[in-house]
Amino acid sequence: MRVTVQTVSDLSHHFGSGEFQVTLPARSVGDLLDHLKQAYGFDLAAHEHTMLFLNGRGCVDLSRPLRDGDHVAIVPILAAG
Amino acid sequence: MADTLAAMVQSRAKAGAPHPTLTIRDVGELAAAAGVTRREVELCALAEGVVPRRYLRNIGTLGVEGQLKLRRARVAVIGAGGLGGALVELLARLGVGALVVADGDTFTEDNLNRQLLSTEGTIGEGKAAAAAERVSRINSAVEVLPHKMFVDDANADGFLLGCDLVIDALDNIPSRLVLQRAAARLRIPFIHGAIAGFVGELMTVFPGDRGLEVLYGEAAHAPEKGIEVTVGTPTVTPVAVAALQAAEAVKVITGTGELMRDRVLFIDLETGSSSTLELSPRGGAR
Repeated sequence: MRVTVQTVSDLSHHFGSGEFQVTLPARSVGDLLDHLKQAYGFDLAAHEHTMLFLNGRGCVDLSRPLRDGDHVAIVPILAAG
Repeated sequence: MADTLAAMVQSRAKAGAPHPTLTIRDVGELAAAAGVTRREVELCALAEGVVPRRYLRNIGTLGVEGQLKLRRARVAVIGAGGLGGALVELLARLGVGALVVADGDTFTEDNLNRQLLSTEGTIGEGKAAAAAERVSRINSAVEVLPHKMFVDDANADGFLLGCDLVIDALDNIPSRLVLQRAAARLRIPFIHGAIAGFVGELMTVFPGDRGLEVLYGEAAHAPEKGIEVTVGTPTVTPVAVAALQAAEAVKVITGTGELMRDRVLFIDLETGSSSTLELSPRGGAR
């Protein structure tokens, strides 16, 4: 399946782009994160203050299934004013 | 009385193209003569098509009608630090009618890098009072209601009652969620901004939108802080995001442009890039 991954700011440096498509046999969000770790050396667990979104909704359950065309965003938490 | 003031405005107005104008001195003298506020003089002038010169460079973009809408508006700026200080400055120059400014904090030396209301001479002084002082120097026709208080569930409605717009210039997520809930209860649009390092974000939330609950998660599970814990709050970022929030405020008040609803604009000043995260209006983490 093919999913779009969107990242913001420093998180993008791992991928060389703020938005890219991944084709993989991943079946869950967790599988996608495993792929990002193996292919790009990006370990979400190493990034504190980061949020994950699946199709515009916050995603905390990494077992959630992925479907072709899904959009996954990994963005930093910003709270200062 | 209104007819009298209108006649006084017209007789004092300086001929000009494309608009007749009033100077700051004209506005002050008319207010004194008519026994009304400077804001009332400016409202009357704009309704008559007479533009106070201080707004002349706004008119090409906003129009006289847009400027009049801004002059009528009451806006709450909650938080008077990096974002809030810049917002107060911008909204006063834009000519927003009245500003409610709430912040329970006082200035410390580590605020000086970015908080425009702080100076070496105001360390230890209240941020909300500094906002009122600054506005009085920029635009004496803007009314300011300063509150030296931190926003919470008990007092938020009191700050926001009667406001047309709420701007979130706070520095922690739980308080931002409190403020959004209060704005929703009172049916007031809410403009969110936040920063950390060279990165900033912007979102506009209308009553009924889930807004920050989609972005940060439900209050019970939302984090308190973000990456600013490590990357700090450098000088330029709050001013850039405050400008985006002020532009959004202009659009909400004047009913123009495209708003950042159900999406978050991220700007990265380090790379000069921006991106938009589309949020599901249905919201919630799962």
